[in-house]
Amino acid sequence: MTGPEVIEFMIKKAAATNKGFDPLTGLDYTQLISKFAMGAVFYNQAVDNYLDEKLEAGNKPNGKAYKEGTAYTGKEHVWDEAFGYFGVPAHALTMDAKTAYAIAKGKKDAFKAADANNDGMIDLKTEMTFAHGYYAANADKGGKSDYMHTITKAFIDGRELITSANGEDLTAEQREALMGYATVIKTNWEKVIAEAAFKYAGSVYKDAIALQAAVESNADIEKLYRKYAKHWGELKGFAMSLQTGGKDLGETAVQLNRLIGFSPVLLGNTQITGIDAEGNYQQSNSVSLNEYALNMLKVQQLLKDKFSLVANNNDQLANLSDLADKLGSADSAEND
Amino acid sequence: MFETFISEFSSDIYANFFDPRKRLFIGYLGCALLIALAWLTLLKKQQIKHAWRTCFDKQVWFSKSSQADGLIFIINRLLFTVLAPALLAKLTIATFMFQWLQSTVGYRPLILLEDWQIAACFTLWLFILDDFARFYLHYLMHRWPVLWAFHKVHHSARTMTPLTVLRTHPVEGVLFSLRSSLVQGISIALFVFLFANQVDLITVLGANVLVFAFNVTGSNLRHSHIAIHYWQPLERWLISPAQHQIHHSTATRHFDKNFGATLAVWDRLFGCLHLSEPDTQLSFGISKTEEPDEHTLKQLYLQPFAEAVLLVKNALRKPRIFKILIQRR
Repeated sequence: MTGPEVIEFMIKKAAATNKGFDPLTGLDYTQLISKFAMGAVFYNQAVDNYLDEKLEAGNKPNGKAYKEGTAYTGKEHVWDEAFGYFGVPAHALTMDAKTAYAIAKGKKDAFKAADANNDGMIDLKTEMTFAHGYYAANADKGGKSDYMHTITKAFIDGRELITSANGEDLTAEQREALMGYATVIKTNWEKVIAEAAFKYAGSVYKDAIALQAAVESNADIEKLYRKYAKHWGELKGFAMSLQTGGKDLGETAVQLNRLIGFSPVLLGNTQITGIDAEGNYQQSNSVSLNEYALNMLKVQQLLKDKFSLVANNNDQLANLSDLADKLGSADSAEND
Repeated sequence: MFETFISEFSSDIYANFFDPRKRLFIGYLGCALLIALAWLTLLKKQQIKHAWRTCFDKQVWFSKSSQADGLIFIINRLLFTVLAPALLAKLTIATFMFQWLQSTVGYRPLILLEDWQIAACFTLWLFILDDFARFYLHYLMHRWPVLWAFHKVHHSARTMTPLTVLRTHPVEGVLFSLRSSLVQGISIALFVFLFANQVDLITVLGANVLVFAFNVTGSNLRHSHIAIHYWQPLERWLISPAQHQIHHSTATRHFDKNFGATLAVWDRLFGCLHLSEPDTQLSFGISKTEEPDEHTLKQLYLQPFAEAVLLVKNALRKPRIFKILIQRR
């Protein structure tokens, strides 16, 4: 399916459920649609359109107004579109990730930081944290990464470069410098999405283990199952988003899709494995919840390795590496 | 490239003396000196000046054997700066083991204990398993002729100083590294599998508290000429410096005794524990008479390969003799 077909398919399926959740397949369409659309629309438009072919010399030139009568040039428009899709407040460089995150969460103590022009209101166009900007802040607030600032800074530097051309067409050097900023934005944006997928793979791991334990002890599973499905929907949405950046992820995408599958593994160890010609889901026997949990560890490893992640929130094997570090170098030639 | 190498090499040398996880940490060396001086003055009734001179006996510290110790230390650190990235990392083993455990057991057992209980168990477990692994590999180094060819380098020391602990052939160094990685990787995986994020190590100055205790109580005197022995019943539980010196003795009755590092129980189980002999003057080395080329680099680094190759060749020529490679020496 093409991207638009996927969204349409999901919406159709969602319409047939009660409030967007289908307990028979474990598919949480609210999560799937919102997380996938964030990639398929915002991320794709920004990195595969505005920061891609629209930066070419003949396309939306800087020597002309974007449209007759607009106060900005073609290239300025293109750049600003991409920035808007990222979703951070325009003054994001003046705040830390925790604050940007708190703004999105509507925390009262973040209000002052959000209200850049001190008009007593938060302007949703310029002062709010949305979408992947929010996920960048979420990854960064642990202090190990700095995606939000890196991306925002590249946007602002690029915008200043365009403005400095004073409404003339960009020279070859200027365009090359601009492409450099675009590359910084693209690479880090992709990492932000991979970090989010990484985090939710950790959640699905924990949920699957807890769910299996609950099944074995005959405990109440309803809430656990719902949580598992919600986290899975977010994981899948982000994992699919990674594949909407207009570049071929090759084997990484294949492995990611295979490990996660078309649905979460259900309690009877079954999983959606395909759809028939009428668009009905087909379920088949799959792995156990325990083995599926192990798949999530592999998803985390794969994302960490392939996208060189640094925040690694919710790393299920973090304790292994922490302890390994604590024990120090094993290469000792002490001879007793 | 060269600069990175030099900086890695120098920080590695530095760590050997300033990282409390290492035997030769200056704090431990200081403790060993204090213990040796106390032993010599209080129990052996030496004057403090005399005791000081005994500790820093020039004939020990500047012997050919000690000079070779220093050279081996430098050469090995150079070698391992290059080799280290190629060695199997404990994190790789831990990750593999963890996944193997989960897929074999089929679920994550969630055992509920207090944080301190888990940390105490992990610290003790790691200490005991590591001590046993050290004992057992050491035992094999003596029992298998092919390994003995390399371990002999350590035993060729005629005089011993704390630095002798690193008089090790690089092949043996690689085996030690593998041993540590296995012990640590398996332990980490097992405990994280059972107790998730609650696992921690009890440390003092960053070192396992039990390893720290072993080191502040004079572990560095094991390789020295100060024959501190314990009360005999205690030597059945903990290896005293004098007992390790017996392990280095040239006397036939001392051969293949006291392989243990900290605990004496492994030697007891394997029937090779030998208590200290306070009145015996020991001489160290492999043979009674010293060969003129014993401490040349050729002898120390290349001869073991020559011997090992010869052993393997003989074994291949007469397949039935293959077992001599691994049978009792």
